[in-house]
Amino acid sequence: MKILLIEDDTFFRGFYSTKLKEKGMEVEVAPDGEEGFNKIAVFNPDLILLDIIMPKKDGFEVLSDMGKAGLINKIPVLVFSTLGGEKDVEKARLLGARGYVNKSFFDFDKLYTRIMDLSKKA
Amino acid sequence: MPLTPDDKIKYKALYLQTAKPYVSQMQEIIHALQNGQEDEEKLETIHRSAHSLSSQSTMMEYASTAALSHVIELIFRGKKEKTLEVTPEIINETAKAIEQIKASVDAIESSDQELDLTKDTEALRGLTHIQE
Repeated sequence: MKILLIEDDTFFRGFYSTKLKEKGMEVEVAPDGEEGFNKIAVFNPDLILLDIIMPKKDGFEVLSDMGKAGLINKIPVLVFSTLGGEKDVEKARLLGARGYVNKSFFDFDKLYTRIMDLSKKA
Repeated sequence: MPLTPDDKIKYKALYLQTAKPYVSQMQEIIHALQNGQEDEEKLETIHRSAHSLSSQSTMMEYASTAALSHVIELIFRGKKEKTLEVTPEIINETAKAIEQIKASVDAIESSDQELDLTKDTEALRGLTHIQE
């Protein structure tokens, strides 16, 4: 399974990419929304883990651009952030995100299960 | 399963590698703000640095460091959204808070234990009336 991790924070990029690779996944990373969006066509991921607060292009903009490009219904996006406010969750869902995970409260088994569930439904 | 003790050991170096630059960035910017040198980029950077530091500190279970960083994140979020007037007093107290965060990160490095920053967090919350 191919996962694109779009995350500006070096710590979370390092931590989650290592954990996902240990589970046998192929992981590509991008440090900002602009590079992340550009990598979608090249890497062709099965699922995207998308941070919200990022430089150049934030997660909401990536979701919006995916919608305009006709990608949002083809590639499941799990918003991966620490923003827990209902407004932000709802905004992400309205833009087509399939789910929302709080990256700071780590439970890898739950994350893995959600990834597998979403990729089956795609 | 949550973070294991092995994970905490394994990822401590990565945490410090990324936390220290965030702290340095915040120190540099807050000093600039204290000197009246404000621009959009500085405000966005300090907001994002505080957010990132709070997030990764939460992940690594350095809850006190995370909490104080989060208040700073909310200060600059409030400024950006124009819901909080960030006065010179708030800037000065934020500068002190950032020094405390630096001390906590240094303590994590030297002793694996963060500092108790509860009083600093409560003081900054009290000054800004931030509830979240």
